[in-house]
Amino acid sequence: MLRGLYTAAAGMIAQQQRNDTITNNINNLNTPGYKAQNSELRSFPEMLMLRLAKGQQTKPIGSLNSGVMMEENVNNFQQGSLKQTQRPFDFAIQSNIQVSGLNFGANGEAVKANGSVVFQPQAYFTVQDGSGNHLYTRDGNFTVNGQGQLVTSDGYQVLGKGGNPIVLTDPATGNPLSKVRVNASGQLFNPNTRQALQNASGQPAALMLSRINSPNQLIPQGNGAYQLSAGASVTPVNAADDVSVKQGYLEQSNVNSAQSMTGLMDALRMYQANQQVIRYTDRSLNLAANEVGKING
Amino acid sequence: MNASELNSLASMHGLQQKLNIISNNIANVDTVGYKSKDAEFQTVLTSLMSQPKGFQLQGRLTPLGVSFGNGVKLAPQQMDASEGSLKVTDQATDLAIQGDGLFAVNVHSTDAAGNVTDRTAWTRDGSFKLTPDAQGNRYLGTAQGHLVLGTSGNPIQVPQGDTIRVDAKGRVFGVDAQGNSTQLDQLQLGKILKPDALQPIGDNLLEAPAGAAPNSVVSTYDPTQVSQPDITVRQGALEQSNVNLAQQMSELTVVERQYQLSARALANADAMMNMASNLHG
Repeated sequence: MLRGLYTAAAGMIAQQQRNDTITNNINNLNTPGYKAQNSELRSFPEMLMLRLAKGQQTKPIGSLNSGVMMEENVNNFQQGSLKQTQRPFDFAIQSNIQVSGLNFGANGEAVKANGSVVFQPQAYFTVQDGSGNHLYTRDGNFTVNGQGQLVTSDGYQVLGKGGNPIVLTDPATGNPLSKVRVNASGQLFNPNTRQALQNASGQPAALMLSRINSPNQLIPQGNGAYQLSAGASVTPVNAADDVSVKQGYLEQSNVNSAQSMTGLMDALRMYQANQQVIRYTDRSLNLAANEVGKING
Repeated sequence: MNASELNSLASMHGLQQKLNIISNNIANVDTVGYKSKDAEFQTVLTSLMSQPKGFQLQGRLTPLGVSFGNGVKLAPQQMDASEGSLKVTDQATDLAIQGDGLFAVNVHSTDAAGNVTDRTAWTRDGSFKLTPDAQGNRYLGTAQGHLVLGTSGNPIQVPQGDTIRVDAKGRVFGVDAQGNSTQLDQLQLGKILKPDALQPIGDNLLEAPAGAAPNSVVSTYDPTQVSQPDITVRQGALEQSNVNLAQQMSELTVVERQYQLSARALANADAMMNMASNLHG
C-alpha cells in the first residue's frame, strides 16, 4: 500500500478537527467572556527510512513523517472589548496583570532571557458548582436567584472573598436587596444607603477575584466556566494587580471574525488538498492493480 | 453530520431565539409599561478528547486532552427593570408608577373542569378603565379586564357618577358631581425585590414563581406608612415601554451577521462532507 494514502487521510482528519474549533469560535462571536481557541497541529513521529539491498549494508535514506494530528487547542486569553448593557448584575473584568521583569506583548506572551515563553496571569470571577468545585469564568452575566444569591446564568453560585456565596441582603435591615452597587475592586454596596454589604462572617462582602498564574492550565467546561487543572497555581487578586471590575458591562468574546473566516477557508482547502492526494494515490494504485502487466494485443 | 455542522446548527437555533426576543421587544416598543427583555449567549458543554501520557511533550502549553466546544445556546432571558419615560394623557384612570413598584391585579381564571381560581398578579401597565360587572357596578380594571386590587384585597369599586382621583401615595378617592371626595380604597402596591424571578404571564402581567414564599419576590408596599416613599403613583400619565429602539436595531444587525457567519460555517462543513463522500470516484 502506498504510505501517502494514510498520511493524507490523517491530514483530512486533522483539518476536520481544526475546522470544528474554528467553527466553534465563529459561533461564539457574541458569547460574553468567550476566549478564542487555536488548534495546534503536530506531525506524527518521524521514522527513519533505510534502503535494503541484497548483500549490502542497509543505508539510511532519511527521515519521514507519516502524517499529522491535532495536538491541542490553545486558548487566546487576551482581553475582550467591553459592551455596556446597563444591567445591574452584569460585570466585566478588565485585567492587565504585570509580572516584574517580564514585558508582556499585545498577545499576552513574554519571552524570558532563557528563551522560555511565559503567559500573562489573568483574573477571573470565582464560582461554585453544585458539588462545591471552584470554577473560574470571565462571563459576568449574573442574576439573583430565589435565595437572593448572586448566580451565573447556569445557577453556579458566585463566590465572595472568604469563599462563601454572595447573598444580597441589606446590612442595616437584613432584607433582600433588589439592586447592588459594585466598585472597581469588587466590593458590594447598598446603592441607597452606600453601606457596604457584609458576608456571613460579618466582613465587608466583595467578589472573589482569582488570579490564575498560568491560564493555559484552565480547562474549558462549557457554559463559559473553566476548571483549573490539578496542581496549577491560583491566588486571590491583590491590590497591586491591574484588575478592575466594571458593573453594567460584559466582556465581549475575543474572536476575530475575519481571521476565523480565513481560517475556515484555509482548513477547507487543506482538506481538499489532502482529498486530492488520496484520489491521486488511488489512481496510482488503480494503475498498479489493473494496468501493470496487462498485455495489450 | 460532523461536529462542525452540529456546532453551527445548535448556534443558529440559539440565534433564532435571540431574534425572537428582539422582534418581541420591537413589537412592544409602544406597549404601556412593557419591560425590555434580553438574553446573552453561552457556550455549550465542552467535550474532551483524551490523550495518553505520551502526548505530554516539551513545549505543550495545555494539560493533556483536546477540548472541543459545541456551539452556543441562549442563556435565560433577563428583564430590564429600568423605568420607562412617562407620557401625560390627562385621563383620570391612567396611572403610572414611579420607583420599582407594581400594581396588584386579580387574575380570575376558570380551568377546563370549571374550577374558578383567583390569584394576584402584578403589572406596571396603569392604563386602567372602569369595568362594569353584570350588576352594572363599576370597578377599576386593566385594559384586558383584570380587576385592580386595593389594600383591602378587594377590587376597587367606583360609585356611579363619581370620577376618581388618585394621590401620589396610591389612595383612590371618588369625586361626586358636587365635588365632594370620599376615599374609596388604596391601591395595593408591590415593591420588586427580585426582578429576575418575576415571570411574565401575558397581558403585560408578571407573577411570582409558583412555590415562592409570599413577599419574597414582590413585597407589599404601603407609601402611606413611609414619610418619603420611594414608590409613588402619578395620575393622568402612562409609563412608556423602556425598549430602546436604536439598541434593538443594532442588536438585530449583530444577530443577523452572526447568523450569516454561522450559516457560512455550516456551508463550509457541508463542502468538507461532500469532499469526503467524493473520495472514491
